[in-house]
Amino acid sequence: MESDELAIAAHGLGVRYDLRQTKNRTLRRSLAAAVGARPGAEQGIFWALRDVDFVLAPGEILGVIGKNGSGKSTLLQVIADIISPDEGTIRVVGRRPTLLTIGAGFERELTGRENIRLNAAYLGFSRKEIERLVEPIAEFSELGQFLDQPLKTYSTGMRARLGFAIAVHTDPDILLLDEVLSVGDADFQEKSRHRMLEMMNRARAIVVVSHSGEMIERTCSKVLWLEKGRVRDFGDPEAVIADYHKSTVKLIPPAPPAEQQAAVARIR
Amino acid sequence: MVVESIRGPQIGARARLAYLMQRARDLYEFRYLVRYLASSALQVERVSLSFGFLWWLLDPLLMIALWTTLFVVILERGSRSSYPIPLFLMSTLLVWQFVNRTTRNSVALTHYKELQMRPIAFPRAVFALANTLAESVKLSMALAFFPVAAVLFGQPLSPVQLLAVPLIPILLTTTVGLAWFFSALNFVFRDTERLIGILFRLWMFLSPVIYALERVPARFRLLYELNPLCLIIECFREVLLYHQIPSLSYVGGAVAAAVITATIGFVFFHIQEPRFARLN
Repeated sequence: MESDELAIAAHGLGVRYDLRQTKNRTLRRSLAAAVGARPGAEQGIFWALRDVDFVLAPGEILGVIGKNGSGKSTLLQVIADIISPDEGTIRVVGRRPTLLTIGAGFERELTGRENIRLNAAYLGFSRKEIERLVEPIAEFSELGQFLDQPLKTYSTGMRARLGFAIAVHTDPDILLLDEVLSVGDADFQEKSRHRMLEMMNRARAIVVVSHSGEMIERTCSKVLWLEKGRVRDFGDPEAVIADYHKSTVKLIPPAPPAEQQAAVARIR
Repeated sequence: MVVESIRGPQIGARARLAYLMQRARDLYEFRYLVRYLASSALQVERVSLSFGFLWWLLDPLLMIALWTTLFVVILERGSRSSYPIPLFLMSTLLVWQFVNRTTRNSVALTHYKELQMRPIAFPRAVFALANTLAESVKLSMALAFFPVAAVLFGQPLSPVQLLAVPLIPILLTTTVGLAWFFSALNFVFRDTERLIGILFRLWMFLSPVIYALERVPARFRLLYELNPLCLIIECFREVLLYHQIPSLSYVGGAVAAAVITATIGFVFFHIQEPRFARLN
């Protein structure tokens, strides 16, 4: 398939966790393994993803659904080039596939403004691009003079604002979202939602992982349903989400009696 | 411009080589991050300590004072040397301390930052590289103090001492190779971070740091010089203390050791790197 008709293509994708390797990392375990001691229950290989195939065209939004441990986050990490596939290939057409995160890598001794530079550098921006980004991010964060104070003087909310302001200014070609993020008060959330929509409009393609079937159905053009690391279904949101709900609905416990719900509501 | 990447398992020598070349290009692309990490690490250290950057000088001087006390007072070795013991030790301990501290800090830093920065894709090799650059600033400052110390001990100065400057890049290359190698090994064997302390203590006694290379018996010399730090340490002593231009074989050997160590470190780090995100 030509590059301009494609955003992401996974072909026979597999990611393996070798439990012996992840466990045999201390000297004692390594020596035991070297002399042939039985690793017992630690032995074995766990496939977080296996035989995953899908194609996403430019302009599409892919929703990834599945239970906890089905491989959703691993798939995002593979697309973001954090984990390499052990099997198959992943083809990504677009600059800087970025998994949107808030505040990873902040240095508490540096000022807010310096942290903007540092974070943008982690995301691969050049010096010129960073200089262009600093002011819009600073303005968006609404942190005013605090931006020249060390991060250790910030409240949790202020850090989140700064992290979010950086995240929504990254403008990657391929935008990866692990649950839709939101921070701050109602005004800031509204502003963030607008900025996020702008960023989504500019992105070549978007992959979003969510537990909310409703959100996926509303925003996505394709849905990938993962189960135990394999593709259970891939296609139009309406049909896939309906099947997904049918399979999960029986797992939801019956609602508690009305008087119990009323008591909980009173406590809240 | 449309950027396209196709990734899969690297099977075969050609695929591995292409992967390593790509990683080298990635590292170059993130050069601003390397510079920013190095300068912000120095800045953080400067503002978070009461004596700030004075520690960059105090730290090596205190260590030299400690070793001098051990030599002169406890072992009573001072009178036999034709050079003042503190200067003799300073010419090589500064270099040793740089390698030791850079490698050990890189191991801890790479592990800590990998966990902290897991959701973001960038070359993890930046931490060891930035740390080496930051430490090299402290080394340069300590080395610049050497002529001052020499004058204080009544020793002459020589333009040959300036040859320490071109030796620094050779030392940096060796050190970053070691930092990459041990940082990656720490993901394979989690105990590396602990064992490295003992290893480096032992390594110091197997390197010409507190004694001159000429004291090593000739029959062990070839084996001894396989130590990638041996010749570069001796080169620093020759230019700083003896005011002698190191022989071509010493410089050539030090350069070869630097290139081999950096290559092994780079290759080992990047072969292991895809596993980092799957380990804790």
